[in-house]
Amino acid sequence: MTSLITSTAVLIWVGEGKIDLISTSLALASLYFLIPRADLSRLPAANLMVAGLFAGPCGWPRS
Amino acid sequence: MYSVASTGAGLLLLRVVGASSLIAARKSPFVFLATAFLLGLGSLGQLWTLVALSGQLTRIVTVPLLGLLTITHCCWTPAQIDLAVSLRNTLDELRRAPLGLRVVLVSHSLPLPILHFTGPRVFWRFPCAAYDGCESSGCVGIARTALVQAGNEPYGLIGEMTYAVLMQIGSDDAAQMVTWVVLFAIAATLVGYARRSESACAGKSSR
Repeated sequence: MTSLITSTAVLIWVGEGKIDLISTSLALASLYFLIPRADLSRLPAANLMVAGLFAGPCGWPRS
Repeated sequence: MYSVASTGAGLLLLRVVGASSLIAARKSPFVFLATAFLLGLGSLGQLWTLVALSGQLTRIVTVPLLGLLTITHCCWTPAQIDLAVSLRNTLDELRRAPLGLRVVLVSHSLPLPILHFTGPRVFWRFPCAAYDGCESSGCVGIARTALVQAGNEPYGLIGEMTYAVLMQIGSDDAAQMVTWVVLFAIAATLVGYARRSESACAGKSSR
């Protein structure tokens, strides 16, 4: 996170108002809900649903 | 206002899929807030795209809808209670955060609004004429043009349509500031990544 908010590669785009950051944030959020558990047990259904929403109807890249 | 409305839309969606209390129960207030906000941002972006393609994306449609979503926070539902608890926990977590993290957060949070109102306006401003006629045409032209633009394929139209609506209900500044809020949502998600990795490592070492 430190590298994110100290990097001019990110901060310049934030200052410029680069809206592609929105899609990036949705992709990151989707992946968060797909991180496997430490014991590699099945992910809860809620996690999969939210990840699906981020990846499908609510965003993320299409290709 | 748009961020609050987005969070309201996200909470509604989480409630519909029954994930609100589950995510809140994981004691990751940062992630819960970021999830609600980003989910709302994405769903609203997709909604605006459909409305724009039908040529109806005008203030008469957007402002009442955003107002309604903002008002949903007044209904004290379990999702709103989870949100309030998360807000309180976020402040507590920030107080308990390591000094280094707090210094980084504060030192980079404070200059951002100043940069926004000074730097971008002078150096980074790229006026977008395409949005000027948005209100009269219901954004239909923008939506169609953006849909067939090759560069938009990897990103979709969420950003474009969010920008168009923010221009419509606010100003150029409001549209540019959305990335500032999104940056904090990204940061919150990354904190969530770190937490999950931390617990995964702890789980592996204890086995």
